[in-house]
Amino acid sequence: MVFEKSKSKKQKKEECIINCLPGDAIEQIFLKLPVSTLLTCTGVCKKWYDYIRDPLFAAAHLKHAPRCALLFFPQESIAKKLYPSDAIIFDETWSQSTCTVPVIGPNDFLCGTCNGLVCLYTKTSTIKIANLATGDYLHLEKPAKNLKGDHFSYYTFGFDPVTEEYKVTHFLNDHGNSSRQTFSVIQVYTFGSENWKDVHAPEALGLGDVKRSGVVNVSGAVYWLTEGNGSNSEIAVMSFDLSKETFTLIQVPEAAIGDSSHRCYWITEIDGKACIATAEVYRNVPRMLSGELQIWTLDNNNVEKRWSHKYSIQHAPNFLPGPHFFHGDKIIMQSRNCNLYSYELLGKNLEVTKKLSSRVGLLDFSPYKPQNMQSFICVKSLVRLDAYEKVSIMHRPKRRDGWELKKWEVWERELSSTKDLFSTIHKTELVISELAHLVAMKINRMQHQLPDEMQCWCAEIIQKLQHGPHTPLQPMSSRRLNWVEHKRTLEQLPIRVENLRHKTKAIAQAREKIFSLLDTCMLDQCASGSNADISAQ
Amino acid sequence: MASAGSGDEKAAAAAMITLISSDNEKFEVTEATATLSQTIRHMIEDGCTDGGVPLPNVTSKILARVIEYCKKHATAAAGEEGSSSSFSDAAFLEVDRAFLEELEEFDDAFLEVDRATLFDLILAANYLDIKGLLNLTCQKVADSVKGKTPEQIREMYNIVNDLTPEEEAEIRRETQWAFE
Repeated sequence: MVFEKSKSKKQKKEECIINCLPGDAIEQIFLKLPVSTLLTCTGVCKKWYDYIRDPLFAAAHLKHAPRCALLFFPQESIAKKLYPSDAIIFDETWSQSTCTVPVIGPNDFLCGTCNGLVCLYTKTSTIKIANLATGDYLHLEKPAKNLKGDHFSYYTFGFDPVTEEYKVTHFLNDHGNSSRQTFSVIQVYTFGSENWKDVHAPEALGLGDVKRSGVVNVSGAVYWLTEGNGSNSEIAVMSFDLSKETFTLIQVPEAAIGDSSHRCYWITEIDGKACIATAEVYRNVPRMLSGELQIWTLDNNNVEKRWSHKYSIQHAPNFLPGPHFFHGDKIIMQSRNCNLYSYELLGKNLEVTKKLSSRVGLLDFSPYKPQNMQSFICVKSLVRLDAYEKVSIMHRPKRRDGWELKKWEVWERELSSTKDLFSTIHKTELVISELAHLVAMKINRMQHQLPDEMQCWCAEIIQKLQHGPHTPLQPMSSRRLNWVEHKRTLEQLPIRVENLRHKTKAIAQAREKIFSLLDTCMLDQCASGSNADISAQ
Repeated sequence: MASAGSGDEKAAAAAMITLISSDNEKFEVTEATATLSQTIRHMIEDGCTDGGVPLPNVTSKILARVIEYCKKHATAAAGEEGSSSSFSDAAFLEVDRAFLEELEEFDDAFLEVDRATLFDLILAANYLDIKGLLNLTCQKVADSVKGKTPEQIREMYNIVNDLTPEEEAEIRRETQWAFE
C-alpha cells in the first residue's frame, strides 16, 4: 500500500517534470529540434502547441536553423515528355531529401527563398508564398494579370532587416522595340500592405542577365547584373535597397573585366556578401566554363563599396548552378552529363589561387538540363504567414493539387503503374524470401543425417538460398518521391528482380535434390521391405 | 583572497570556493571550476562568496554531479587555452583531438542517468547558468523526442493530452503539407 502510494507520487512528480522546467530550459530543448519534429510536438499538448507556434519562438528558432542547399529544377519538356518542377534539399550534413517538397507544385517556378519561405511563380494571376517546412502558404496577386513576356526570374523575394518586412519585387518588362529586353520600373510589394508600388529606375536596365544569372538578396538589398546598352556595354552590378527603395550602380573591378569577348558573369553570395563570379566560356556553349573562375566579394557599407578578390579557382569544370553555388565550405558544380558534384577548395590560406579537391558526386538529375537548374541557400523555419492573411491582396485559396491538371495525367498514370509493379515485386520478394528461408532451415537441420558427399551441396545451396540483401526489403514510400530518388528506386528494380530469379532457381534446385533423395530413400525402403517379406516367408 | 580579473591567474586557480547544497553539504571547489557557472562567477565578481555560496535549489546529489562536470570541463578549458597560444603543429593537434575525444566520452558517460536526475541536472544547469551543461542535458531530452509520435512522447514524459479531438484534427490539417 505504502509502495503504491510512493509510486503514484513519483509518477505525479514525473508527470509535470518536463512542463515544469523554466521557460529558458524548454526553449533550449525545442531550439535543438528540426521543424518536422517540432510540428509533431505541437500535437502533444496545448502548452507545447502554444510554445512552438509562438512567433517569438519561430524567430529564435530561425536564428539557430542550419543552412541547407535547395536545388530547383523547373518543369521541362524533354524528348516530347513533360517533366514536373522538382526540388531537392541537401541538409547541413549533405544528406539528400528523398520526397518532393509538398508546397512546390509540378507547375511552379522558384523566384527566391528567405527565412524558410519560398516565393513561387505560377502561370495564374497570383504568386505563391509558402513556408517550405511547415506547408503554410498564401497567394499574392500579381501586379497585373497576364503580363506579356513575364518571367519567373523577374520576381525576387527578400527580407528588409531594418523594417523587418518581407518584400516581393518585380522587374516590369518594358516591351521595347529593340531586341534587348529592359525594365524601367521595379514593382515592390511589402507584406501587409494593400498595393504594389512602382519605383522608377534611373534608366532602362537590361533584363538579359537577370534571366541568365538570377538575383541575390543580401542584407536588405537585391543585387543583379546588368549590361549597359550600346556605347556602354560593360557589365555592372545593380543593387536595389529594400528599405530605402533606391538603386545603386556598382562598377565591377577592372581586373575582373578582361578583354575576352567570351567572358561570362554570375551574381552570387558568400557568407552574407554579394559576389560576382567570372570565367571565360566556350564560344559555342556560352554557359560552359573554359578557364579559371574568379570570385570577387563586395564590401558594401554606408561608407564605401569595395571589391576584393576572394578566389581564383583553377580548372573549374563545366556549369555553375546559380545563384548560390557556395554552400558552407563547399562549392557545387555540374558536369555536362547532368551530374552535380561538391568540391572543397584547396590552397594556401592567404592565397586566392585555389584548386578544387575532394569531389563528391551529389546526384544525377538527368534528363533535366544543367543550365535550367537553380541552387539556393535555404533554411527550414517555423515562420508563419497568417498575420498577412487579412490583407485583401493576399489570400489563402483552397489548396489545389497541381498534379490534378490534365497535363500530368500521363505522368500520374506512369507513376501509379510503377507503384503497382513495385508493390507486386515487393510482395513476391516477401513470399520467396520466406520460402527460401524455410527450405534453408530444413536443409540445415537434416544436413547431419545426410551422407558426407552431400555436405558440400548443402552448404552451397544454403548459401544460394540466403543470397541477396540482408536488410529487410522496403516497400515503395507512400509519399511522392522526388525525381532523383524515383529514378534511383527504378534503377534498383532490375537488381531486385535478378535477386528473385536467383532465389527461385535455388529453391527449384533444392526441391529437385530433395525429391531425388526421397526417391532413393523410398526405393531403398521398398527394397529392404521386399527383402523383409522374403525373409518372413 | 584573490578575485577574478586581478590578472594573477595562479592565485585565482588556487583560490577555493565553498558551495553549500540545499541539504547543507559543503563542497570545496577551485575558482576555475566554480566559474563555469555564470551565476557563481557574478557572485565572485561581486565579492559575496565569503563563508560559502548557498545553493538552496540544488541537492547534494545533483551538486556533486554538477561539480564533476565542471571539474572536467574546467581542465578542458585550461588545456585549450594552453594549446591555442602555442603554435598548433600536428603533435598539438593530435593531443587536442585525443583530449576532445576523451571529453566527448566523458559527456556521454555523464548522461547515463535516469530521467529524474537528467531533469534535476537541467534545473541546476539553468539555475547556475552553466551553458555547456545546459546544452548537453537539453540535447539529450531533444534527441529522445526525435522520430516519436505525439502519443509516444506523451507516454514517455507522462504528459496529459489536453487537446480536444477538434484541436487535434486542426493540428493534423495544419501540418499535412509539411516537409520532412
